Amino acid sequence: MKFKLLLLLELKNTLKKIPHIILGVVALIAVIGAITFCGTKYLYNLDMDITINLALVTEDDSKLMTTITNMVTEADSIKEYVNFIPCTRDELPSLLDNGGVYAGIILQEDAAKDIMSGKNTPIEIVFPKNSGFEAAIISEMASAVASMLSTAQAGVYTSIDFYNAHYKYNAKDEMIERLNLTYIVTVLFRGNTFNDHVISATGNISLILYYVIAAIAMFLLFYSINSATIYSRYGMHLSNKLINNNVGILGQMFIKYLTILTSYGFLLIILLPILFYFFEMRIAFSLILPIILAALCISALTLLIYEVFSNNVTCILFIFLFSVFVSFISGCFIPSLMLPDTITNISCFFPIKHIMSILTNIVLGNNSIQPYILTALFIPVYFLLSVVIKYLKIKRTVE
Amino acid sequence: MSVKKTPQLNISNISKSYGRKNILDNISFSVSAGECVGIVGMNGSGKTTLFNIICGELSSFTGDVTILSDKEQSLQKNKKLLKTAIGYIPQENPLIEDLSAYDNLRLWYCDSPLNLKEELSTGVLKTLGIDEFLKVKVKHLSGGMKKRLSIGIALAAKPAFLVLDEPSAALDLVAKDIIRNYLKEFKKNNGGILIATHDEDELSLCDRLLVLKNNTLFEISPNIRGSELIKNIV
Repeated sequence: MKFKLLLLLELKNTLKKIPHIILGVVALIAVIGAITFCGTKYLYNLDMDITINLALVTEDDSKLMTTITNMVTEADSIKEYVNFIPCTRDELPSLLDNGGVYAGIILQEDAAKDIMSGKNTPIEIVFPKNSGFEAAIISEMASAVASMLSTAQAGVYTSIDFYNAHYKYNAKDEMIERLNLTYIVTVLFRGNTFNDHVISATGNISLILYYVIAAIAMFLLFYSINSATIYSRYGMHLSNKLINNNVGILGQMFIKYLTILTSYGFLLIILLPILFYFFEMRIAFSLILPIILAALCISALTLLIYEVFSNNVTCILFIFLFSVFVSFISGCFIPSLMLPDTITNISCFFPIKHIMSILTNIVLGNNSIQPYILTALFIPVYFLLSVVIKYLKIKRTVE
Repeated sequence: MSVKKTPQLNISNISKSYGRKNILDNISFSVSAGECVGIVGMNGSGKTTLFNIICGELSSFTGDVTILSDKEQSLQKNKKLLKTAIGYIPQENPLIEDLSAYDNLRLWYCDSPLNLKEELSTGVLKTLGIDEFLKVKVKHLSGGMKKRLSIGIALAAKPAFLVLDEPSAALDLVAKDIIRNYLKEFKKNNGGILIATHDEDELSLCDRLLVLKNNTLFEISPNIRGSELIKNIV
């Protein structure tokens, strides 16, 4: 009888605090919204406002070299990131030294002609001392291009030999011209230098939906801060008095757990419109049950935290830091794919990771029971730990 | 199960130690119905430990606490009897801070032999003046109000004995007066009181005065006050 009445009184007390709870939710929406928005902006809306300055020393003023350099420097895809600064060989060292350019390309006299004839006059690429990653990129690109040009040369020589062997001297020049064009076009097509792999850090889920899911998970976690408005601990004498009146520690903790869970009910009501706004009806409905499971789990975690610490201000501070940490390692700010394996392995010991998995699986239409089981397992673990801590605290205080 | 006739609370050979530190050594005394027994002692002398043992909050000790009524029954073995025999008012009020005074009372009077409404209108709760702040949340009550409410709650099971651990500590004169007057009335109605106090007004209620010193208990005249009392305690 006392258990039932105590439960009713505690629930009534929680319901009386609806205005506080709603106020807390609004504040939380603002904070989490800002965090998620900034995270998305920071990671994915970075405009590449970087242009690499390259010095270009052209000592070969032949028509072919002019054509090649114009094709390279005027290509839109190159112009977007590379700014070619024409200069002389004498001006180049000072440009490199004062950081005006990342590298200098020197096209020596008769370079184009030599390439065609097989003389292979090298095209020099000069880097400044302490050159950064840009130099490494340019170096890699130059190696790739050189490798292709070598292939082109081999092709040209083979063809010349073939034409000579068959006495097709008249057609040789036309063949060389056509081959040169073909190879130059091939070299200048970046797709032949680099393999493109489209990788999304969020997997098969869109960026917006990923961050909506992350925001839901974070809402649930950060919402434990709001429990400070409803959570009051039973003192040692009160607990003992309740124990003597057949409301044991388990019962007392269960009542506290239910009061926290009730406050999560309000959060669910507020989350519902968000779900229906971002997800199609079928998915939004499918998300409700997992969110309830998540609320059950995080309520138990909240109970544990509020029992470990003896005052609510410490709890708020701890929950904030803990939530930021767990959200980070669980991929709420930066997708797990971009985090080191050690961090993602640690995140498995916290429920948010599994809650995120459940929610993303639903959106993607995947069926996996494992994250459900893991999330559900956390509930008795956290609850029983709270009971043990309460028991030890009472024992320690009395003794 | 209630305590009838003129019961006696017997504390026999209580010993308690924390690790190697002995706190209570073979303590024995009794409190009869209609009697007020005071316990004085220095801070940390073991008064609260003794009270926690008597009221069943501490279980690891040697000795026994019994109620002698129709027959002698151990309180350790009979928690139900403990609940109805002793009303404990510890220093820390056993109240739910977030609930109103009325809700706290409802919780403890729901299975009480007393009727809450009657007690509030004409009974003990009225005497303690609790009806004046029923709707106020406990956390907003003053120390005196909380103490009165704690006494009101301790009386819910209609106990034969009241055990009070420094009830007037940090209370104002009015609150002290209300509590002292109620204790007088409780005693007059054949209730037994065991009180740990340093307050002279409350000491004047005591029929017997015990000093807890060097882990043991000895009796002094209840009329000793001032420097002579201090000499006995130190």
